[in-house]
Amino acid sequence: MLFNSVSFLIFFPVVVIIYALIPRKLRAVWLLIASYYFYMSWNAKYAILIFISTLVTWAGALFLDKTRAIFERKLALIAVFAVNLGILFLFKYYDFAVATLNRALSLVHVAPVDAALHVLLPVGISFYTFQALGYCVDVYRGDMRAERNLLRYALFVSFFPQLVAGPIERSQNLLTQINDIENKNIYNYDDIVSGLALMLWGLFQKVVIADRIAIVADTVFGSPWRYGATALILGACAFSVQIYCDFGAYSNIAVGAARVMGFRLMNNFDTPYFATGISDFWRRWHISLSTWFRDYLYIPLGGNRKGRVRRYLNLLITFLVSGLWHGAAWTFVAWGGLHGILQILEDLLKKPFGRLEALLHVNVTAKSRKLLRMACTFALVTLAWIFFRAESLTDAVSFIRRMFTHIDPWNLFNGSVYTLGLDHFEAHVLFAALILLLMVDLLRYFRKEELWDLLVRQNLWFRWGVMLALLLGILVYGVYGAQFDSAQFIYFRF
Amino acid sequence: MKETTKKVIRTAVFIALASAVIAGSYRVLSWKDTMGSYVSSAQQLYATKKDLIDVLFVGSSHCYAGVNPDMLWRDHGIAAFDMAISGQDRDSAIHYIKEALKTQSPSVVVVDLLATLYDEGVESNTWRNVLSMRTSPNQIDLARAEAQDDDRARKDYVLKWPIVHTRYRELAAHDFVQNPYSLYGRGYCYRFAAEPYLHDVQLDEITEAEPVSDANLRWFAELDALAEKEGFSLVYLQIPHEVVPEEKRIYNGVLAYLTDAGQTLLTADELIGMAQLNTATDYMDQGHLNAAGGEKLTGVLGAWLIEHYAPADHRGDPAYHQWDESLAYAEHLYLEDKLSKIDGPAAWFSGIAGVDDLVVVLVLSGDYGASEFDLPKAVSQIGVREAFFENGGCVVIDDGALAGFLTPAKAEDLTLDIDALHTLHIEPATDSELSYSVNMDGQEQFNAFDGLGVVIYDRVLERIIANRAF
Repeated sequence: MLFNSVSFLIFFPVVVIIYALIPRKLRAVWLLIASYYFYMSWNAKYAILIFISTLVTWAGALFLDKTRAIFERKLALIAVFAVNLGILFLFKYYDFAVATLNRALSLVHVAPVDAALHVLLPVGISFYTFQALGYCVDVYRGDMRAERNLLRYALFVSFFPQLVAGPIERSQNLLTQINDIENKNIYNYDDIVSGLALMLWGLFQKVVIADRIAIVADTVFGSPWRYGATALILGACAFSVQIYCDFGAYSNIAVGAARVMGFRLMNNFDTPYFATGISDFWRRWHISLSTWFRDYLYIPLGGNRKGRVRRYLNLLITFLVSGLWHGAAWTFVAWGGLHGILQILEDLLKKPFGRLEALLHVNVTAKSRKLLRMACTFALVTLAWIFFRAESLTDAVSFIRRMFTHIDPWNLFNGSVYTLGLDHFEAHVLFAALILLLMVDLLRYFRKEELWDLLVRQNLWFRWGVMLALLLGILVYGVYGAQFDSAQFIYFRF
Repeated sequence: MKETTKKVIRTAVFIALASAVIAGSYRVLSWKDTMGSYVSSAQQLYATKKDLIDVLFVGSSHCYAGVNPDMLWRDHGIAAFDMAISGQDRDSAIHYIKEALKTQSPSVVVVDLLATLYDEGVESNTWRNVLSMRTSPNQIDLARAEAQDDDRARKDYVLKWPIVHTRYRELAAHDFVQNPYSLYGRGYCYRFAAEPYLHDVQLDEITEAEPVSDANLRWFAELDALAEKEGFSLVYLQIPHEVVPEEKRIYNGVLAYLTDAGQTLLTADELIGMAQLNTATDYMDQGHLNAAGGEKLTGVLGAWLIEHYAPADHRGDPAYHQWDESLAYAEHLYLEDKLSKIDGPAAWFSGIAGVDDLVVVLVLSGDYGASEFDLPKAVSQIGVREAFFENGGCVVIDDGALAGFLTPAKAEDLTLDIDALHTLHIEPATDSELSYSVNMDGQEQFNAFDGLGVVIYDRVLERIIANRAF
């Protein structure tokens, strides 16, 4: 059940209305039923996996909470990790491992092994697995008491707004709110309005921008050999916007849907393309995942505490794992690795650049310098996205090579850009939507607050005007319906 | 409490406002005849007042190109209607009869047999059939039947919006302002062009018959049951069109079955003979009759209906004004066709003399006096005096009356707002060879360099119907 589907359009109001009407004691049960129904609408069988993950982490956490012996605690944590990561490996990485092994075997002329499982990737498995594991680590560290009520804990793991594509919530935030579910004031008008507005904006990002600009990205990435640098750069930029709007949309809808029901989820994006460096980018992009890796991998590896070389190594390991988390393919590993390397380079070049700027009397507070840094960061992030989007490493390298060898700036001026899948009309719709996106992000960037919180404070007619315009924009200009194979949210694959 | 009440009211007002905006947008985006090339019979049916239709024709494009209700009205006063939609399949035919029966009580329903030839339709035709119908249990039934096992298609057909919203790319004036033809047209689609074709005589020698398919048998049974339940006479009609051997064999089977079953049936062979249809002049393509062919076929059908069912003659009954208006509309279409075929100005101006609802622009340019024709005499038929040729310039006649004029001595612009959508603008031409530039809605109209240029705007058809130079 996609957020941009008719089914969700029916499902969500029904869930919310019943949630609001039933006795407070039944709220958690009702949301758990709704969450499992939501998950099972993709593949009913895979509910077993989420249930196993829930049961193992719940029991593991109870044990960790009760036991004081360090060795036993460590062993228990390892066991919990082994079961959960084992399931994740089996369903997500096993076939990839077999394919990699066969490639290696073919190099030494050994017959491949026929051991692939060809199983369908369970939707959102990486998200709920990490959320559940994060909780166990929190209990292990003593940051959180183990939840005794299985039902409430199961709701924490499967809470439908963020179940399949995040944000990866922390137990301190979501589980605490679930525990307080009976006392929640779910009739908060402002929460409902801002939640619905956020959902509307998310839908707009998804169906008007992401799915429309995806046509350009798909056209260029589908046959890069047809195009020169101009189209390839546009295609790469299109994918940058697509993935931001696609994933940002999901997060906004998730946060908005939760807010309508009185839950506050963490913000997953903070105007990432206004980042002034790669490390800054990761403070703004997929915040719930980057902080997860920071807290549960980078810091346990030693973080910044063990010298510069170890820090760089930790950084590289964290980003390689992050790449692998995104997908079972070498392209994702390369993407993660590239981000790790870029951050190391950024750190290494920080001082020399600082000296150079001082020598040239560069005004480090100048807005133009900031803008230049933003542009450079966007260019580097976009370059890295090519690995993320390409079908193979060879494709990605060939794509980048063509970008630098087939220079054709004239194609910017002869109308060729309108042959990348969007005609003049569609390109103008996209352009208008992108301007709106830019305005929204600029507002968020400068006002340092959520746009929809800002909107709630506005004059009624203005607020209604914005919401009606968004609604109509989605309904009319959204890319959906007949002749359109509804693009899934990209992050569902992870 | 007071604050809560305010919030509830505010929410209710917002929901009402959003619903109104969505409903208004749907009205604009909904499937309709925007280009003038497609007749939305469903809209015409919905615009028809209760219990007026006596004879209902149900079928595909073959039906709306072949059976002309305007002619049945003109010649016999029969209140007939073409409930015909492109590629109307069996399910659509059944459901459209049911849809018509909601407001009408026809005594005769004539069903086109083309639907017996295919099991799967073209998607765009399916859309036309499903989307044209108003949402109701009947429409949902039709959507279910058309979508079969495709859950997504079924949702799209029922909701309609997922399909029609993409029309934002093709919106035209008549998406915002009701096309008058969709208000009073009787379902017929006028096509005047003729495309001669050679009939494959070998087809006539095919006598083998395909067994009637289960789907066709079910269809016939369902139609029979419906006719019995609703009390109308059922007539099957095989509209003449060229077929391929496979289709010929299916038709042979179907015709034999219907004959054996004692059904009332009019076959293509009978109709071609009776109507004297000519493949050189009466078809717009191999599949469809043109207006001339339609008139011939309808003539035969009219006589046949009178003979067998004697439907009432409603001419003169004000309740049937839509049939009168439709016929008037048809007359303007015929006029447009006629004007395109006349060469000399005398006959040409004679054709428009006395016709209401025309805006005629006459422009004299260059050495117009040297024309081989007696232009003053020809133009005098529409009331323009000889002085016009003495002074030169330009004159606009609106519905027989002078609406404006320009002379070389009066170097001004002339602007005439014909209706809410159309504006005529005439100004002295910058091109030295032309005297005036004639503009309709910003579009430059063709003009004569040496002679008389005529532009005719038809208020009924809401477009320019002629642009000639003499």
